[in-house]
Amino acid sequence: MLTFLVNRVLSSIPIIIIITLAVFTVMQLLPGDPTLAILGDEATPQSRAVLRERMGLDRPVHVQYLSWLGGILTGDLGRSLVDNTPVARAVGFAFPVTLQIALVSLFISVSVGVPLGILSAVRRGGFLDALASIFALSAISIPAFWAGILLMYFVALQLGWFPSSGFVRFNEDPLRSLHHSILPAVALALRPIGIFMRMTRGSMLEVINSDFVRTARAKGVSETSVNLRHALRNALIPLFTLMGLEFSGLMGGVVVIDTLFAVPGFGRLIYSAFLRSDFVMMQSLMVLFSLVVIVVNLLTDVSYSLLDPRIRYS
Amino acid sequence: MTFRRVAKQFARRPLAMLGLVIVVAMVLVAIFAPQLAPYDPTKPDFTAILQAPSSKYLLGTDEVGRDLLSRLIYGARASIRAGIIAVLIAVGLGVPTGLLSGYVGGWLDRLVIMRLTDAMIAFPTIVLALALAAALGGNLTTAMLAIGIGSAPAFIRLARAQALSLREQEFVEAARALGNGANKVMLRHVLPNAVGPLLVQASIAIAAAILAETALSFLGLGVQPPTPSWGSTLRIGTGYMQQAPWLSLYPGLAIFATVLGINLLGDGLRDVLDPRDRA
Repeated sequence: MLTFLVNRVLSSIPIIIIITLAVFTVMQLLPGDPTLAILGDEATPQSRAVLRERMGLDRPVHVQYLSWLGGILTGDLGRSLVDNTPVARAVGFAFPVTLQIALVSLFISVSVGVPLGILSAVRRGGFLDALASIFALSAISIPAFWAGILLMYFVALQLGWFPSSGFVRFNEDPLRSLHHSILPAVALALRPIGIFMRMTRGSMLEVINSDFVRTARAKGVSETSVNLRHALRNALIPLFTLMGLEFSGLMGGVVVIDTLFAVPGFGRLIYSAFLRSDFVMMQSLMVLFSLVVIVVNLLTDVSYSLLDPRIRYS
Repeated sequence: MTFRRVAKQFARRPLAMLGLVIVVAMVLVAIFAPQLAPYDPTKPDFTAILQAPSSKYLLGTDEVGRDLLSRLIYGARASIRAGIIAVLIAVGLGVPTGLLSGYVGGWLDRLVIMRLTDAMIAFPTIVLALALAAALGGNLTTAMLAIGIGSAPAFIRLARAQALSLREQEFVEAARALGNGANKVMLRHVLPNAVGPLLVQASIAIAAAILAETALSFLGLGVQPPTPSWGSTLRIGTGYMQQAPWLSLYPGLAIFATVLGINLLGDGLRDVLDPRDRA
């Protein structure tokens, strides 16, 4: 188990290096001079040179890269080009918000998608199966931001069941905070619901016909127990890999959904950094976005290796 | 499998045929937009601002009095074109890389290409689009490029898996034994046998690419005004949600119908062409 863990962690290091190199290179290609962006067009060459030195832009490119990378590893993400506040502080405010919405969204998608998939597989070929399959495909085909718009219009503005925008932080008022995160989370959950339902259905169908399930049934184990204890447990394993993969899409979706619902999360942070040409902020946030995805994938890999011993030893 | 048999099996699936009908209809709408649109989609009419749907304007008008139906008809062009071009970029990048990776194997496969692919997967497409938009400017070209790069890993992995399994097949070994070089074996023997699953993946990828394009246009990073597009109409629509809900409703319906059609088509193709997932 320990070797598996160590190997898995080590193998994400080259990925992180590739990503930081790619982000840094793209950011070097940016048009314009950051000192002009900060000081304005009327800045004197002297004051620009002073600022360049203070920001470390006078150093060779590889030194700049290494000091930036070192900063990320030690939690120093640089300072915003716009208001000179530490990027790490803004991240500290936005990250819990996004984490909360992502977790609520993941909870919704698993608790809707997996039972639907089981139902579909058990009633294979029936009316419920057809209905659930069409629902799943629709959930995959609907644009998350349009689902958000519909929820906002019908559920928030017409019915008034949920707030249509803004956010309350969890530590200020947990209940109101959850209330605010439901609509964005549902909009983000639709695609994973569809994906999880189809995956669960497919792997349940595969497992239901396998020998050990037939044996269990022959032993006289009840139908519900066969489906839930024997079939589902094995059908859930591929779900974990999928959850990790879907997380990348979820982090992308956050950019649109944060903007739509005015949620002060990661997505709005990077989008407003883009709009304000705050490239220091963008550069660090881009790395953090993929770091979140990498860590989540690591966690799902580890957790499914706990479920399935075969993976640890292969 | 011959084309005729594929077509026959496909025609027996009602949902797949429904998908085909939707997709063909949308492509025709995009091609014949000038003939179909009742009004000029870009010409403002300040006497008809935010009109509700009526017999004159079937789906209503937008904030500068342009006919929404005409804008949606023209909007099909941007989204369908973006979906196809982005997937062509993804196929162009992904398929040769994946075939090479799987066929050649070794350190190139495991240490270089697979690690790069993992890195690409960890980078959300929308974030990549933000980076490219910052560097190259936010327009449909950078959006398509970002979506193309973002969709490439799926093709790399699929082509690699196909090459890995086909490499060991007897007919490929025979072709190799006859003295054919790696390039020829890959192009003549491996690629043609991987076409089915790649086609299925391409259809799913087009659906996802259209979703990504509309999301980027919604953020203002894709199609630029005054060119009509579904995503940017929704962006404007959210500002008038109470006064003019039709602006928030119909463009999304157009995206949803198109993407659902492509996914139905893709599911049908998968059932017919890809024996792996035949559950």
